[in-house]
Amino acid sequence: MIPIPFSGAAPLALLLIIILLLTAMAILVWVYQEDRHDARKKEARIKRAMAELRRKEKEAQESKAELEKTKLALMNMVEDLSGSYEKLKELDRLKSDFVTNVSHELRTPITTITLSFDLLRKEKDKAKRNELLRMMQRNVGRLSRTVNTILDFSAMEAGAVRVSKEKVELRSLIREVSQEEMPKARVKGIALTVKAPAGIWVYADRELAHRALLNIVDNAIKFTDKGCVRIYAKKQKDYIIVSVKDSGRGIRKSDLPKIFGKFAKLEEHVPGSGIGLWVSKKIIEQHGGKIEAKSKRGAGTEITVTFPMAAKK
Amino acid sequence: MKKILVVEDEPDEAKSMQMVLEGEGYSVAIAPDGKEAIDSMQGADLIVLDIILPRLHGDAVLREMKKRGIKKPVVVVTAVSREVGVEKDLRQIKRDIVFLQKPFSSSELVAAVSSKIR
Repeated sequence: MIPIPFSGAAPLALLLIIILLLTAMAILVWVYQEDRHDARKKEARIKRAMAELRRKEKEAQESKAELEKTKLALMNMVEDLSGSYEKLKELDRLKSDFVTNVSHELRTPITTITLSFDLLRKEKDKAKRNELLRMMQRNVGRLSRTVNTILDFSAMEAGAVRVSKEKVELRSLIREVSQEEMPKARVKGIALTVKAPAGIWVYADRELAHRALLNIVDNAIKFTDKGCVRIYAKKQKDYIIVSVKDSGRGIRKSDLPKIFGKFAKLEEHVPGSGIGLWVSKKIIEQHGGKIEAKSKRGAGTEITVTFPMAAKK
Repeated sequence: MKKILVVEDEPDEAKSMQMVLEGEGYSVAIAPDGKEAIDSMQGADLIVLDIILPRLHGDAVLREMKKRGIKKPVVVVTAVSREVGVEKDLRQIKRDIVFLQKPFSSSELVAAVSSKIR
């Protein structure tokens, strides 16, 4: 009998080897599986961390944008505040200029009246006495106009002006204004003319309308050194237009919106309180009318106002 | 006869000052603005100067006088309140000024002028 090598122990050993191999494989597979599992876990953690990072980054970006917005809002606020501050400062400056102007407008005619009065007491010559009296009259007129303007102004600022409207014949009103201003025009050597049809009736507060037109004509004469100031009136639809046109020095385009402003003084050394046209504008508006200005530097100014026409009866 | 130049843009006020001073025996000329004042200053013994003037402001007139070495006495008339501090500003240009605040009477004007002119 040929002995089969390892015939007794061989299958057992083979089995053992196979088992060993299988076990090793199983361990390998298990280790591999474990590794993959681990790797997946790690990957998931990394992913989570990255997501977290992205979220944080987004949050940071959002709060940065928010911060930018707040910064912008703050900057706007600062700008607004400094704008208001500048406006207040400007108004304050205008007010103190106004006080200076008004004090000049009051003190100058009072000086002339005082001096004329002193002179009148000693003067024997009749012609000279008359000249002094006319001088006093002119300056009393100027003084009372200034006082009226200041009183109108403060009443209007306080909203305490009462408008009592009635039917007013416009031509006679315009003629009154022109007669009152005529001496001034004469002194300056300029013509003051009125062209208005008779029988135009407006619905207005006579005294206030007179004041409004007077301020406009007064202003036109003030800024005209030669030529003329023309007042004319005409009907247009339901309105009456009154226009005051001068051949004066005119107003710069950039200054035009300022002329109806409170304390408006475009030329420093021209006497005046700087509130006349503002008062006129307020009066015209209270009558439901409009006031507008057209001007060309060096070629004169035209101020146009509209009044509602009185109903025909 | 002493000569006075009244620099004043308000015609009535200039005229009334002229009449008052002429009544005191002065010879009076009027300049309605600062430029004319500078041009006609040469012959005058004293200047009566209003501070608010067209063209050349009163302070500019004083500055121009200083620049040209014109050393004439000046009476400054002003409608501006004392509180505004104009006096102090003007005295920095010309120390020796008499101030007269509007409104003033004839005797105040004459007193101011005669304090500076002999």
